Amino acid sequence: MPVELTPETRAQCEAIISRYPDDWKEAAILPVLHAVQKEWGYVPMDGLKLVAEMLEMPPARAAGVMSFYPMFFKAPLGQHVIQVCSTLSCVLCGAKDLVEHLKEKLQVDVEGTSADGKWTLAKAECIAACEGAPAIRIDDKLYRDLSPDRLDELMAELD
Amino acid sequence: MPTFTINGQEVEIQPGRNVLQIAADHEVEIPHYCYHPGLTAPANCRMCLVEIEMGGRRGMMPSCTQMPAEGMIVDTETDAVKANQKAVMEFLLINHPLDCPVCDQAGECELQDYSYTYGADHSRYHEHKHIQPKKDVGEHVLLYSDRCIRCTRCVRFCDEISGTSELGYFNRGVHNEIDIFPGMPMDNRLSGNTVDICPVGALLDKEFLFKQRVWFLQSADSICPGCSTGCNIRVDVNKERIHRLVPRANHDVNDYWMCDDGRHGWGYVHDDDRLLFPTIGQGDDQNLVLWTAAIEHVREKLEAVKAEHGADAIAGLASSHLTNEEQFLFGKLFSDGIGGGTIALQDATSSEGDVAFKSGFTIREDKSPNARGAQEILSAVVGTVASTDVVWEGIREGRIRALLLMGGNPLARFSDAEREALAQLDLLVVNDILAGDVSRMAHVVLPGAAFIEKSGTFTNYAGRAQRLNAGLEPPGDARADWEILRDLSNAMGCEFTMDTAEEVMGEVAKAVHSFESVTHENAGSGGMQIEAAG
Ligand code: SF4
Ligand code: SF4
Ligand code: FES
Repeated sequence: MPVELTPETRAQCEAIISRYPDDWKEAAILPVLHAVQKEWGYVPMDGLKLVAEMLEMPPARAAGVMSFYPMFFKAPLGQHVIQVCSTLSCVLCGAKDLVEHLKEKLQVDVEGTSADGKWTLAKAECIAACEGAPAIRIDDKLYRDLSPDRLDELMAELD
Repeated sequence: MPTFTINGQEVEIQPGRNVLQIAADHEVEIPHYCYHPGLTAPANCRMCLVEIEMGGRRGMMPSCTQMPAEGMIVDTETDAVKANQKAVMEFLLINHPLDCPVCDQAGECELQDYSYTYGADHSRYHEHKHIQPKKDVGEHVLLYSDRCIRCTRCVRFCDEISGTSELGYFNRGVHNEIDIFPGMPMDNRLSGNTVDICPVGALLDKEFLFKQRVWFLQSADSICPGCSTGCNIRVDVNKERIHRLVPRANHDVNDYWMCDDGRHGWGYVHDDDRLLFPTIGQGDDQNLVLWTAAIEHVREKLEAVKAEHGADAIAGLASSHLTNEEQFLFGKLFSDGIGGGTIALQDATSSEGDVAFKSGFTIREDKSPNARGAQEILSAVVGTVASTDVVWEGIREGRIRALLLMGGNPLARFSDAEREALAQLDLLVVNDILAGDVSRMAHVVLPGAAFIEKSGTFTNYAGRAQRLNAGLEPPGDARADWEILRDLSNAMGCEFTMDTAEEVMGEVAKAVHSFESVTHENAGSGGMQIEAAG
């Protein structure tokens, strides 16, 4: 389990924390979680303890904050994470087809990771792109107006 | 004093008190969940909303965080307020399992009570309920999160009072639940308070779980005998047994809290080893006798020792587990009955020191409830309270031939050297509640009462005299220790006529200056500060 951070990530976390008041370091939790997730790919519970320590906050509170946000992952995921928006506009415009297509193509259920470890399929609540429905997120990037074919092309590019 | 109005009634603004509290002072009940007077107020449950008009604007505001202002108009009974209460109740019950018949909280549940008063008698929700898990969150505490209404009182308790922050607020929306960090359970000695303040049946005391329906319980107000803090408690009993202890609010002592040691420390009261009958004779020769015979036997033996070796050959080891009234009679037994002798007070200090929490709540190192009262009263009655070393030395050197050993401390332990000394005595009288090696060495055993089996007062570390009330009869032939000591004193020539602990306090007040104004009535339910010893 990766409970160590590279000196670079640690320095980055410290830089983030230094922007917040000394007696209120826990306010830095979101950017710090992003930074550590970037290194580990997810935030394991031991890693979260380390984060809580850096932020001088109780682990239970750190875990509470992390669990509020769906963009932080508790378990290892595939190399790429596809989040299909499952809110109204996207569902009306075909998000369900995208999900079915991905399930078939990757042989996984929602929340599952493909056997080769490359792809994780997830749903997301509104990702603020109704005008481009159905929209998805792959890792940090937003893609609009998708169809199963367009999705195949995108995935081929990333593979 | 500036004023504002609640339901048309003009009331005074009290500094530091919010609308909900002032309303309660004037018998206007505003239902609330997340607000607890001992914690900060997040105003998250929205049950306490009332209509407030101020400066020409009218709106719904949480009364638990709203401070009143001159001229403010507060209405707690309008249609809008009632509609909100009803809506909040409906939301809270959407995923609730409605399992009152098997819930420990039933009968003292705010969800139940408010449903009757402010809610509806049916649910409009026909969808599947989201069911949250039952979890073990600590040594003493279970969390049935399906019943939880996410008021966060328990989380705030751990953040603000114990300062241990083991509980957190996880996930969101309908999945929102209270939990611990994986593998880090609630590990603080105040954890049981979370069960008390949970307004519903979500947090449960493992020891009390499924033991009693609360409406069968009868209560006596008492004082925890676990340490010199002297937390004010209520003892809930049924069918001759204690079922739980819960704190009573007292801002001068324990606020709303008590520690887990005290809360769960009463097991000895119902121990199989309780001393039930007076006995004469040692070891296997201990014979049950009537009280009159036991007292007469002690008198004879004491007189014999006194005749042969003088009053100074008699000593008493007092116990700070006994009440002020009992200390007084113990002192009198020596000063007036025996006419001399040495009294020392046994020490109940533990090695852990005082254990203080973030809020200031402190579990004290003195694991007895009445060391201060004992010291004060005994020195007033007999002059000097000797150190216990003097007594042990006196026994070892053969100067002390008879010892009255007072017990009542379930944790009392004697060293080998002390037991050897006890074996040397011509007369060992043990007045205690639990059988042990020392009671087996005794020539006479006098079975006394545990804290819940008698009335009286304890003086806590800060000099506050506080009342305990009997909620149970002593088991077998055991008696309140003050009755035993009264009879023993009378056998030795005193002429005490009091029939109640309260009457004994009347005598204490006459004899001990600092107790001058103490009566059971004055001490009331919250105790009274006695004058500094001087
Ligand atoms: S467990 Fe009880 S005290 Fe804690 S949030 Fe739930 S209802 Fe409130
Ligand atoms: S702090 Fe002392 S008096 Fe209070 S509950 Fe604990 S043991 Fe009892
Ligand atoms: S008690 Fe006021 S909002 Fe909960």
